[in-house]
Amino acid sequence: MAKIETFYYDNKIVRNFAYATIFWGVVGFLVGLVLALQTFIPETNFGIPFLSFSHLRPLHTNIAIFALVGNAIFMGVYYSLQRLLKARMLSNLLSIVHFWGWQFIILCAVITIPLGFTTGKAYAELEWPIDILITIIWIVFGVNMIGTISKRRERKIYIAIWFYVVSFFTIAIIHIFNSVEIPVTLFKSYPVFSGAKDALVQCFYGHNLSTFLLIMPYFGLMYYFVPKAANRPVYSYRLAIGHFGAMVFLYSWAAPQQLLLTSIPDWLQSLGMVFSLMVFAPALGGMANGLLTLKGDCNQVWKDPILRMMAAALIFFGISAFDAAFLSVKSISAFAHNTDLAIAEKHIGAMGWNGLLTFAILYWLIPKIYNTKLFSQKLTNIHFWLAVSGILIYTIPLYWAGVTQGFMWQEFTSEGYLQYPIFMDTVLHVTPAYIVRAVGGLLYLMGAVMMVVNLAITVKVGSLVKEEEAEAPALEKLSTAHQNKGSAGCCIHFKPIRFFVVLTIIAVIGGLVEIIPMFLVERNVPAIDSVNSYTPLELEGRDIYIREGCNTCHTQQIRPLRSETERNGEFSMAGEFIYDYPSQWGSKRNGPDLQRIGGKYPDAWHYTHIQDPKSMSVGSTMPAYPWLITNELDISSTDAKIRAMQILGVPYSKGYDQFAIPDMKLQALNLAEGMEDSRVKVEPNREIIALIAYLQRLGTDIKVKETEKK
Amino acid sequence: MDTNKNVLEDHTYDNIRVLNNKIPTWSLNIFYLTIMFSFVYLSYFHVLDIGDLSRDEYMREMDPNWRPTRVSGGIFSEYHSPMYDIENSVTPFVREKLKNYIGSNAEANDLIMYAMSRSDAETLKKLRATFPGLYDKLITGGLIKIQAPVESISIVALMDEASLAAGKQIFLKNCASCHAPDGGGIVGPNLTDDHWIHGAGIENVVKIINFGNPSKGMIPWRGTLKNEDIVKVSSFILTMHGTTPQVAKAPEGEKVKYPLEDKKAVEEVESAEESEEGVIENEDVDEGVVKEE
Repeated sequence: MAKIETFYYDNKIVRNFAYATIFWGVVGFLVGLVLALQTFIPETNFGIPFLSFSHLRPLHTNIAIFALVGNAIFMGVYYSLQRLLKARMLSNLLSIVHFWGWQFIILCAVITIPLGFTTGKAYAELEWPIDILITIIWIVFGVNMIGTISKRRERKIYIAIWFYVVSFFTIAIIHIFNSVEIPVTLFKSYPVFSGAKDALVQCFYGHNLSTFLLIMPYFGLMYYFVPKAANRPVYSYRLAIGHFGAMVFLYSWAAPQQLLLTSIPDWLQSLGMVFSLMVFAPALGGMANGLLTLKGDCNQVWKDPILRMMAAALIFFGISAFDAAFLSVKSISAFAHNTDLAIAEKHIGAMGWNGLLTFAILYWLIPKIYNTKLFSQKLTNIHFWLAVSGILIYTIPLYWAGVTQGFMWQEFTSEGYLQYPIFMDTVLHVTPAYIVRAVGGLLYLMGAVMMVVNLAITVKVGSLVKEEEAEAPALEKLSTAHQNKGSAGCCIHFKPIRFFVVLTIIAVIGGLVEIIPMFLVERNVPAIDSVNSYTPLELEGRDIYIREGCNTCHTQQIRPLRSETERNGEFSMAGEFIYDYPSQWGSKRNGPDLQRIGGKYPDAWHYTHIQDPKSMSVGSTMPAYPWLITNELDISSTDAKIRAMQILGVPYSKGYDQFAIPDMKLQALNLAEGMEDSRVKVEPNREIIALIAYLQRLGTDIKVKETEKK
Repeated sequence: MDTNKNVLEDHTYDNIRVLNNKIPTWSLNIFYLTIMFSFVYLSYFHVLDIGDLSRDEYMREMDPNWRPTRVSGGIFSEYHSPMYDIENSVTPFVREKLKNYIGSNAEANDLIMYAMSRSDAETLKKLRATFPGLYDKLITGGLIKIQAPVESISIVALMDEASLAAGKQIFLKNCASCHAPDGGGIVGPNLTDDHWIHGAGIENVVKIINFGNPSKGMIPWRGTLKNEDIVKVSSFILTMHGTTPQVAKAPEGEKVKYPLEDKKAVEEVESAEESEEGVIENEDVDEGVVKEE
């Protein structure tokens, strides 16, 4: 027998991450509630740019994903990893750098995103300096985690750790891949991919982010905290390994399911769809394993609110997995995409699965590290019911809204007209659901506040066991006999890093197969002759479109469906987007699609509409953007932008950056003069001029062709 | 139940015991089912190339004779849509529907109505050139009440109160944002004065609402508003003439002599526009159309 060693678990870092997840969680819920209000009372932004829906919504998603879920994962990992490996974390310094670095990143997000410093890419809005910081801090986390594995006192590596490490590697890869960008200024960059390619990179990132941050690490947490809290054995280790392997292999292939019926190749869409369907059973398997672990004592689960929360979290995961599979069927996506169904699905996952599991872990873990008992079971119980009813009241109206609006968009009269040609009518029809949804969000927030009170009192009563003493025998030396046994088990337990690297390659292989061909084959996006690069003014306008987050509510992608072409015009073709850095296809239509908005309305209409949407569209829920009229357009980096575009391969003639600003001024002057006829007086140097120029350009390039040929 | 049940693995992980129960059969069955479905799906659509993919399906809906043409050498395949047909304004879709009509299918009457109501003036002219007999039959047979407001179809302003009230509602909802609720004009021109940019009279008003003139700031409402609604709102707009709005925008466009009983005043403006567009090819000129160079 090896010598028994005494060592200490670091509980302080666990406590820090727990506090962080609670704090950011409440902030995230609060921002979400404000957003929910703004969907039916847009005036609740009080006319302040950084409180506008399009500025706050990316912040909401960032807080939910990186602050609430991120910190919760770190809390759980730092707690369970030490105990599963019978070892303290590799380095206190790394832990501290990781903690404060991560909070600093979130703070940067809270400041920069509402101010409009954004890349315009979903879930990756943070600009390039912060991207670099994320990479560094993420690697710090990885080194700390893998270092701990290498100095462990437990030979066998538990399945939870498999989930952690594979997620770590995969997130690192997709984050770097998605963040390859050319900086223009300190807070502005362009991605190296454009149009349909960029859309694919974005969807690959977004899909895997939700898989390897919201799902996989949480299964890791589930496999540790559920059996611990229930004091029950894991139902089936075989099932755990099985669904882990299937999910690792299948998930990343399913990424294109977010882009069904868009201008990406059909074979990608089909792969996305079938892999989404195939991953459904493994996902359900994971849920079943958790539930069956809890099943042992139903009475206990019913009595103990913590276990009940865990069970509910697993069930909500199952529902969201079903939703994801359901929405990935092409013919369902045809009416469901861009509606509230996706919002409902994401919130079932985030509030149900991530939220409830986080709460349950907090309720179980805080008393443990404070060496005390949870203050009130009753409050926990109320929190459970508030959270569950909040989720249901939140999502059920949205399911209704999604289905209703999806059908309204597609409904034709017997004469062949759209039944609801005015988009606003379909929005107003589902607005009651938005009001109810806000109530659901409020209940959920109230529950979280109760948790804060409950845990605060618990903490006050107890005292933190900063260094928890533990004993374990030192790890036995590797014997060659063991190593040469050649079974899979050996590889896992004796060469864990190699094992995890292989797993990571398996995890991202789907994405590689789907994305790499696009960059290898020349002319893979069929060029459309008439599609030209943007003028400097339009380019600046496009950057304002990105800054204001218009893609939060407006898509730029008309799918080949009669209802969409009837409403918006010719369906989108990949060749139309080749100068779009980044692509702004979007995924939710709170407002109509804008792909072919160019030329549809007069300039003055846009001016008045942006100044006061309600004046042009009765009942509009779009917030006003009056600051675009007062703000002067910043032209200090226009020439740099042109140069960056040239590097990316946009065919501006050589030395065009010198002429960009005069060109821009001329176009702006013409536009402003043109609007004077409609009694709109605006200085040509305003931001709104650039935005209108961009909007009027959108989707018109193929029309140019039409008139020229005549 | 199961012999495998509760077989404990000898090892515990931080005191977590693990059982090694069988993987539930139902989850395996779902898994195998989805895998089989995936093979069938991929073979059907991509290997054997039998099924129509979304774009093909769309194309066929618009044009039953459409055959997919794919540009080789690219992963993204390029497609053309009959809706975006540069050479022929008469799209294959419309032509197909017309063939149906020639087969004297009763139901197809509606289809050609549909086709015609959807066509712009240019297309209608071509339709007329392609199927002169059919076109006349449609006009003279009284089948068309108000389809696309071509010069040949006479439109009469509605006078009944119900229609005007409906027209007012449509106006307030869709037009008032630019033309002001009382027609005084904001972004759009004043509708109460004697000046008309696109011509006075019901036919011109219906026409401009239908087709718009985006370069001058008017949105086409064809497709958004139903034809009968366009006539209603046009009729209502005519009743605004001569009223005094709260804020009247300065007059724009040509001054038109009122009263309009003198039909020439209307037609002068109309024909002036036509001469810009080009001469109608068809020989059998309908009544009411005056051609001038």
